[in-house]
Amino acid sequence: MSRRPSAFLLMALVSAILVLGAALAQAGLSRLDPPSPWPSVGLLLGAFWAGWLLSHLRRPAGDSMLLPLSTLLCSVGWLEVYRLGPAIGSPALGERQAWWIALGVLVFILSLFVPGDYRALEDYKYSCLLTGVFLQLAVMLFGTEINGARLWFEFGPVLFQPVEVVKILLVVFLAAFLRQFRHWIRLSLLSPEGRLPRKALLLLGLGWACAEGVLVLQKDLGMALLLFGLFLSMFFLSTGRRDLVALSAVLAGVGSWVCYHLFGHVRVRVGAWLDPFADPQGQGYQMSQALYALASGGLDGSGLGMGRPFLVPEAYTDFIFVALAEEWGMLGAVGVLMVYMMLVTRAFRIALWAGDEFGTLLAAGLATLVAWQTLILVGGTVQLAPMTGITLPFMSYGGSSMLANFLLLGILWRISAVGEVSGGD
Amino acid sequence: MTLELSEGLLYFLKYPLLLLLYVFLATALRAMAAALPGPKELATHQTPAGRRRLPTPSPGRTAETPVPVPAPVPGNPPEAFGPTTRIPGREWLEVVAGMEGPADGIPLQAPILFGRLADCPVRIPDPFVSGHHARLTPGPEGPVLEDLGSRNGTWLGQIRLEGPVRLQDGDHFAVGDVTFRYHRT
Repeated sequence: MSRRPSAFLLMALVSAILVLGAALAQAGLSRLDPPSPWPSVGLLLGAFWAGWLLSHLRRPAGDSMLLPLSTLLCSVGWLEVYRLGPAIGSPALGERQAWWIALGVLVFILSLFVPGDYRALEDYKYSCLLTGVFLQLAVMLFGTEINGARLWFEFGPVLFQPVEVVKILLVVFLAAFLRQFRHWIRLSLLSPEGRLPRKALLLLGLGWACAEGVLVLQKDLGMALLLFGLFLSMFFLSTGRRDLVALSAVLAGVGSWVCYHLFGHVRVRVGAWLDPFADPQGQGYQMSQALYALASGGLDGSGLGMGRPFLVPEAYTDFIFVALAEEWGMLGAVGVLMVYMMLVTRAFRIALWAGDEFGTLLAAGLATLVAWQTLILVGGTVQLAPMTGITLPFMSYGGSSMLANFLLLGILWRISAVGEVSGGD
Repeated sequence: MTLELSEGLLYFLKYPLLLLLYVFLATALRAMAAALPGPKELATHQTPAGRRRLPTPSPGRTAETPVPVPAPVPGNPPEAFGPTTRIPGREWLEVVAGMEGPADGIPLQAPILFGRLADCPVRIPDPFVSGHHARLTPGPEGPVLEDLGSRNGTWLGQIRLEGPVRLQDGDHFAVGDVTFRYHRT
């Protein structure tokens, strides 16, 4: 058997893509007189290699594929963010994003140096739940409203999006809770004489009500989809009951239908999704611009810095996937989707190899989290689903998202590093 | 350092970038595929399993079905494998790769269960191995290996087991990452 390619080689390839991409983006943007990318590239390379080196020194048994896959996504995302900065009138965007990525890597490294064991998280499950609920309620009541949605806290120049932390807290809580009560739920499901599994149904109803509550109170379709998808996936992972999942999916459908008819903002979102060209200068503007961008990208793209992805509003956050598809073409976009797929596959593999049930549920929950978030967002930008305001993991511009995703990566690494049989190479 | 390039040249320079992306993908896939279960590359000579497939087509799930004994396969005198101290006619399994086995092999007198769970006499702690993965039942004509409906299969050489198969001296089979070799002295 041929020797397995090493993580070192993959990291070198990431570095090469970053350097070549930065040179091309700078050359392609020469008309706009962009800031030099090289300080940021240096910062990123330093952060990536420091992360790689320290993670292997500190916990050598960890899954060595996690870092190459995530840093590739960061690099490709950064190239687009850097390239969009001068075009939308904030040339420092690339530099700021580079700092956020470097801070994210720092969070990743710090999470590896926390003494003890990830299993300690299990004892904090109710703290996690309370913190999550508190953050969520606080942002609903006191958050800063941007584009009609209250999803952010404003701290001076920095916007903090609590959703990104809440989602990880929720996974930790669900993993610990379901591990503790898995058998209890199962027993309730197996109750004889065709009785209704009341306790399990109650739990499902509670999760459903929370998701609907977010949808109604916070006007945030993406968050509601993400929370409910996560809840259902983890419920299925721990009980293996397809019928209950199907039932909840039907309930969610009914809930969405009711919301569609009761609330104007949901109708507007769905309308802009189903037919963006009904109002191409108003509600459908973003979506129709995104479709034009996707179309002009074609198979192989316009080349970095040569397209016009800045015509799509919010191209550097929510619509970064469209910017990528325009300038790297379908080939680049599909390639990046494959990297997401590998990352999720790898996280599920960590779940399989984890030494204990909590680790398995936690890793699998984080895997479904990345998968759902990517699916919902990419689906929204290519008109397969209504557009929602969540970020694309590791690629979108944004500090909270970057830090949270690197924390997620750190937890995965910790789980893989203590698995019964080591998962790395 | 700023590149001053014409638009035309820049347009074509996107291809090296895409190429690099796909080189990364191919390398990462190769690294990940190395860890997946599949036909194992056994250090073995050919084991043509087809000719010895037993006439029961039932794939192992009905574990209690008795296996009919076919006409004995002629020939195949026992070769001189294993430690010389072995009693002639004794059957045993050698762990060839993937796990530390007992130094003098696994004696084969009663049916042996292979699996991940603790009640298996041969316990293989590997997530790609099912709880009760495979069973080897000794018989007068040689032991019969059957898969118990495992997710990732039991492999005789390069072939995935579909029904019970009678082993011959020197046969290699794999459960998960662990390769065994059947000996008859």
